[in-house]
Amino acid sequence: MELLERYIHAVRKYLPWDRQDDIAAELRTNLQAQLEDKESELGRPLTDAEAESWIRQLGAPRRVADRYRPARFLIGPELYSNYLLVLRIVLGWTLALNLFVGVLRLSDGRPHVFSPFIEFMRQLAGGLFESAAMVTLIFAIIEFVRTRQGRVATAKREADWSPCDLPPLEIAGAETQPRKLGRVIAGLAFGCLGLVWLLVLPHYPYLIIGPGAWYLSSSPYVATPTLQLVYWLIVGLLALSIVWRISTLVTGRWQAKFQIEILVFRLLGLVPLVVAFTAPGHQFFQLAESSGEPAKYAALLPTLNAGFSKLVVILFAIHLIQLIWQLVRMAVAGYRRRLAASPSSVQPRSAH
Amino acid sequence: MTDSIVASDHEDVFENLRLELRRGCLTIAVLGYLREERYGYALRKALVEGGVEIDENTLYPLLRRLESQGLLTSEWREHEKRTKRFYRLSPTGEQMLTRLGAEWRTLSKPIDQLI
Repeated sequence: MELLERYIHAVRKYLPWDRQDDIAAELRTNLQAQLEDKESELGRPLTDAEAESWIRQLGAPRRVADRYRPARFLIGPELYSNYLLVLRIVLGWTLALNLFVGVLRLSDGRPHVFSPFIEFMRQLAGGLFESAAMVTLIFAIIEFVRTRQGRVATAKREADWSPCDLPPLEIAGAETQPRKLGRVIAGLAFGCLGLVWLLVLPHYPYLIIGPGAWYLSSSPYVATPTLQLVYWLIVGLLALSIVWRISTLVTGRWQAKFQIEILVFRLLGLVPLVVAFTAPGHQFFQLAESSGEPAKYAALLPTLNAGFSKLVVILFAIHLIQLIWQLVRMAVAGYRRRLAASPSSVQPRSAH
Repeated sequence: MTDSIVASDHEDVFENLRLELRRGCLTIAVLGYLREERYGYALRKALVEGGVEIDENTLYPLLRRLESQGLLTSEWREHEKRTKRFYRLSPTGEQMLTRLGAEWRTLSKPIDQLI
């Protein structure tokens, strides 16, 4: 029957190349025997429609051929959890580094082909994609080698594991443990000391640069209004955090760790940094009116402002990364809570 | 609408569990039927007549897999004017069938009592 031959030919194309002929020959004899049985039952050859219906019932050629192959994975179940762990770490670092470099580039003032934000997003997406592709490729190679060499070594490693090697609980539990009163009071005390230190700093600069303060007293430079605003914003933020801590002590809520509280203070912490980051012309210091030799000091001013600007950029990038990390953690925690509350969470995991 | 989606999900779950349950049983049945030499289609007919439903796409690849595991032996031979591949239980397959049979009996009795 021509249709049967065409079917076997189509199946053969998808069979493993080293056993194509053998499997196709066996399939032919089995199907021919089946066909003969059908025809002897009917007492006549199958009509075209009957033959088509029978062959359709046998299954699509690719699907039939696939059954002769062993189960194949790009990354198998044994490696999958390690793959996800490494992928998360690599993507996290890629995100952090791209944000850091992106902020540096945004602040360099050079012209870009696209708008600076689009340029940054393009580079970020490219970086994340490349990292994910690289990790996937490496794990796919490991899976391929493992499949070829057998799984003996892995099985031995897994058989040799010891409960003593399990990580300590502190790492996982620190987030959920209640705060201790001693730590809360110590935090409050240090906050107050920090506030006092900040407030007296302009009058006693030796608190930050020691004996060098003598030179500062005769410094030809003074802070610009932007830097002064940043200073007062930091003071205000620290005062606010002290008031908040006192209020939690008074109301007896000091044991709770509110993720939203951490997020709000991180967001507020961004305010002075944004003000500094967007300072007009990246100017943080200017010449004092009383400075002698203004030409000499004016020449040094750009270097001083550029150095301080770099410091602001680094602090801004670090704070931004911390903020995004906090948001990611909150999103993951929220997702897990929803998943735990959902009835579908008891269903078994599907195969990878 | 939601009820029909849930029903369809349950049907998928049942189908997966049914396939998992049948997989091991079919292997025992195939090994058992191949104490006597048979070719693919004849084996399928014998299984169906014995009450074990199995389709071609499951049986023929299974025969190859069991042969590659050393549980079956095979040879091409002429039969009724056609060359066919005949399978038979190997000595290793015989031992394996005995062990699997014992496992089956150990499991089936308490499960029968349970359900």
